[in-house]
Amino acid sequence: MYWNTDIWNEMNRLRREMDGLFSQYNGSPASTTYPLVNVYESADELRVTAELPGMTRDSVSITFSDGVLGISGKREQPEQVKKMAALRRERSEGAFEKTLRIPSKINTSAISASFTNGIITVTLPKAEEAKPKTITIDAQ
Amino acid sequence: MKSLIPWKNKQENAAPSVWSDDWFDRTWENPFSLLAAPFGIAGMPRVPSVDVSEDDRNVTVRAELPGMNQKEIDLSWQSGMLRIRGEKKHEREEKRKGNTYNECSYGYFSRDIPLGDRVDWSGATAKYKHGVLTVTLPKTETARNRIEIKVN
Repeated sequence: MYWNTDIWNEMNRLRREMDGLFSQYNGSPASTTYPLVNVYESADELRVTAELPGMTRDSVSITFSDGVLGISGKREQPEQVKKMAALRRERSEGAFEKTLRIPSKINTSAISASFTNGIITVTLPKAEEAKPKTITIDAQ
Repeated sequence: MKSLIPWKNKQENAAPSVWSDDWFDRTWENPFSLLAAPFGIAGMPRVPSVDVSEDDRNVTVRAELPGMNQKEIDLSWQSGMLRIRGEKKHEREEKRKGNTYNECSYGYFSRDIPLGDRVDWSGATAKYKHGVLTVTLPKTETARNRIEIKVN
């Protein structure tokens, strides 16, 4: 049948390959493409979200040392899927690790993480000295 | 730019175009984003990755749709194709904040998965869990009664 006619999928695959090729030159703070992350910074904290569809809390580990946040784990097909015949396979499997350099000093004891709908959110509160301070200018 | 295009029309033409509104808007507002990410590829919308598998009874489709609300996913059947559509929204709260670095893409997406006459769409069931949409479609009689050809 027409299993291989999906041109958009083909383009997407190409895009991913190119992402991999150029990711080391585009000034990205991240080490690898997978998982895709967003980083948000406010005055008090940094928040990192990573897309990890199909994964659960137990299958992902988060580390933080020397200003580097690490997200690692292993993607596996569920048991019931392994028994079935594959007609199309686009979701990749296996071990992954992504590291991100965090530009601010972090209060490491207050780092927290939550996992909802396949998105992990890591909240990294800034250390007191890294928070922006307002300097009052004395009136003359 | 978005406001110039009627919503319904936009929905119809939504995807799978790489030139989606979202990408256009961002480039329009910040043309230098093209320089920042070579080829402007990193922020483009993407289609969800899909696995299709089968056993004796069912065909199962699994699509990666992280961070969605179940109600935002639209499933339909049209001329032998399962269509998964939706809009992935950026959390409003996050958008307001200061400095950001983005790899994830947002906006409309649409994906057609050709399954032909092998499944009975009316018996399909779907669930959304851990950011993965699973659609189970029972096989039709014709698909089930495939004859094995033995090679001597």
